[in-house]
Parts: sequence; C-alpha cells; structure tokens
Amino acid sequence: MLRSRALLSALAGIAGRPLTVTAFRAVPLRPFVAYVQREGRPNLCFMSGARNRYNLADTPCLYVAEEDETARVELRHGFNGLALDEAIFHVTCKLTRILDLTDVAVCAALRLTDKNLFAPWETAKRPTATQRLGELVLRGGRFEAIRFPSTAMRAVGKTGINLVIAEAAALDPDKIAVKDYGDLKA
Amino acid sequence: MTQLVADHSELRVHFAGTPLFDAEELAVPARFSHGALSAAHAVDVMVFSVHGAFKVGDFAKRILAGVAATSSPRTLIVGDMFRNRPSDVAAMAQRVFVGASVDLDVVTTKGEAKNALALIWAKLQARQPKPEAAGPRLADVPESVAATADLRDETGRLHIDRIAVVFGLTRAALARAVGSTPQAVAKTPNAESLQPKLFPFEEVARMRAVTRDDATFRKWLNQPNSRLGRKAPLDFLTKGETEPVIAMVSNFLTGATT
Repeated sequence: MLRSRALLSALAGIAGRPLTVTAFRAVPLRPFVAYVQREGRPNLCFMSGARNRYNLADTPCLYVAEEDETARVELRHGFNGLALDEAIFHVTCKLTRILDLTDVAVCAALRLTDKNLFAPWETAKRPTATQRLGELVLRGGRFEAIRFPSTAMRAVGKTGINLVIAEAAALDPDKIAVKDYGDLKA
Repeated sequence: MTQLVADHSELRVHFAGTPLFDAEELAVPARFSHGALSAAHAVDVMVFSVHGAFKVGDFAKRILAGVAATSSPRTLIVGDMFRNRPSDVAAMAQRVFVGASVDLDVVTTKGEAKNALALIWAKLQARQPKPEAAGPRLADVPESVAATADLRDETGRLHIDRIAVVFGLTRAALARAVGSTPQAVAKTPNAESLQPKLFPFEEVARMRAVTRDDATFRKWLNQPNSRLGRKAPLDFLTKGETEPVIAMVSNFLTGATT
C-alpha cells in the first residue's frame, strides 16, 4: 500500500466509472419494526459514522451490499449464533464516479493486495490501508463511492461485493434512493 | 394552552422559580425562561425546585398551575437534597401527578438536573422527524435507548451494579475494567466520575434491542469472535479496550457491511 502522498497521486490517475445498481441493506428486524411503528416512515439512509473498513470514526458514509445474500451474511458476520431476523432495504444507486477495488488494475495502481483488502480493522491499533484509502476517497470529492469485496462472504467461502458511498452522494436523492423496505423476514 | 414545540434544535426550559444555573452550563443547546408563563411560551420542560422543607399542598398547587399553563409532557422536579430525602420528593410528586399526563423526572442536585435535561434533549432529538436526506442513527433511536434504560438508576445515572449484572461481571471486576477500585464504587456506585467510563458499556448494551434475553447477550459477549482475533468481546471490555466492540455493535445495529 502506498503512503498518503503517493496514494493521492495514484488516485488522480484513476478514472472513476459509473455504476447503476440496486443494492441491499440488512438491519436487525426487532428494533427496526419498533422504530417504524413509532416514527411512521423512517429515513432509511441513516449513516452510523462508526469506524468501519473504509472509514475512521465520525466519517459519515453509507455501506450497502450489491447482493441480497451478501447483505444478510454481512449482518451476521461476528454475530453468528444469534437468532436474528432482518429487514432488507432495496437501495437504488445511480453513481457516476466510483473507485472499483474489484478491478485488479485499480488495485495494482494503488498497490493494494488481498491482504490489505481483507485485513481485520476492528482490532487494528492504527488506521489500516483500507481506512487510509477510504478517508482520502470519501472526503476527497473525486469519487462518490468505493466498490470492494466482502470479507464476510469470503469468510464463508463465497464472493460478494459491497459499496461504501460518500456522504454527499448518499444524501443526494438523484444518486441514492431507498424505495421500499423490501422483504421483512420474520 | 402552550403546546410542546416542534423544533427541538434547542431545549426550552422554564423554571417555576429562579433558574438554578445558566443555560450555558448545559452540555446541550438550551434556552431558559422563568417566572409566570404566558400562552406565547413554548417550553419543553418545566423545572420546579424545592428549597427547604415543603408542604405537599403548596407545592402541588404550584406544580399543577405550571402544568396547566404549559401542557408540557415533560416536567422536571428538583428537590433540595440537604433537607428533603429524594424518596420524599418522589412520593410527593407521585401523589401530585397521579393521573396526570406528565413525564416526571425527580432529581436531587443541580448536577443531576443538568444531566436529566441533557437526556431529555437527546430523547427529543431522537423523536424529531428527520428530513429525508439526513437520517438518524439506528443506535440513537428510542428502541436502542430503551434497550439500556435499565442500566440507569432513578437519578438517570449509569449504575455500576446494574451494568455488572447485565454483562455477567462482578462489581469488583467491572470496577477494575473501568479503572476504579471495588472500594470506590461500593461507596458511590453511580458516581458522576464513573459515568464517562460506563458509557462504552451502555453503547455495547444497545445490542439488547436485538437479543431476546440477557443470557443471549452474555453468550455473545463471552464467545470467541472471528472479527476480534478469536477473542471474546468481553475480553476487550474488561481490559478497557471498548472501541472495537462498540464499532462492531454500532455497525451491526445500522446494517453497515464491512
């Protein structure tokens, strides 16, 4: 992984590509239903701002999965064994400039390895390679989102894709829209 | 009748008597007023303070007059801890408010009053309808708040014994985890100085909004977790390394992929 200045130079040389996709977001059902009952129609584009694979704490961004199964597996990653029902949101994404880390040429340009992409961030004492990259991209304004492989799916021997969408794009209804709750699996 | 205001960008507090402290002393944006209420007043909270020994009848008259003027569903009563026992104030308040549609907090010090007002503001924020674009955190919504309500005692403070029970720890173990001593926490198990150290445990306990019982929650806390290097979440919490577990739980509650 490149150092920050070299990383910025490398990012400048990468063209963002458009992506139109219906993505998925799974949340635990119980608090969600109670929330809906109380609030009526809730906002489904909430962003936790919690530290995650591509962001440090207090960087709002929206994480979604490109596949229904990926969203469900992601929800249970690290929470195996919990009897868990989920609500699935369908998230329509119409993005014009994404950084696609599933493209080997992009990863090569950024000198990102599989080890970097799937490294555990939860217990890291310092920002990981993906968090350093994510902070530059999500706050930089040049890209609207990062497309990246799912660690949770990899852990169960499958392949899945996630998106992390920068706050500005996530708040733009022309780019991100949650049309319905999708399936409520009880 | 004055209605509960719709815009809670700042907490509007009305003191039935002289304000006990300045609005700037609160940790949340607030506007204070005091004296007689008019129909033009929009208030979120009314504060009544008890100074010295009180007569239930006189105090009830003041409170009911205030409630009639404001119709605020949240009414805070501040008791004078030096003369009146908190239980006396609570008992009096219950008698006065029986059948009334008010949400009552009984506190006994200025510090507790400040904390209670901040908590009310936070709850009002969570209740606010949000514009489509700027969403609330799922971990901040009332259900998540309710999931940890029992960790706080009647003063609104986090209580180390209540947290210890939920997390399956002894009081001594939890005291050590938060950098205190069993002797110190035995003296004041809800001490103000403990609150910042107990907040992380409250954050993690928001997961109880999902688990059906505390046994399931404790089982998850004690199981080796693949995302934590095969260590149990409780191992981190008892070593004071709370952030990795909080991040996991927060992302879980909001459905963030990783």
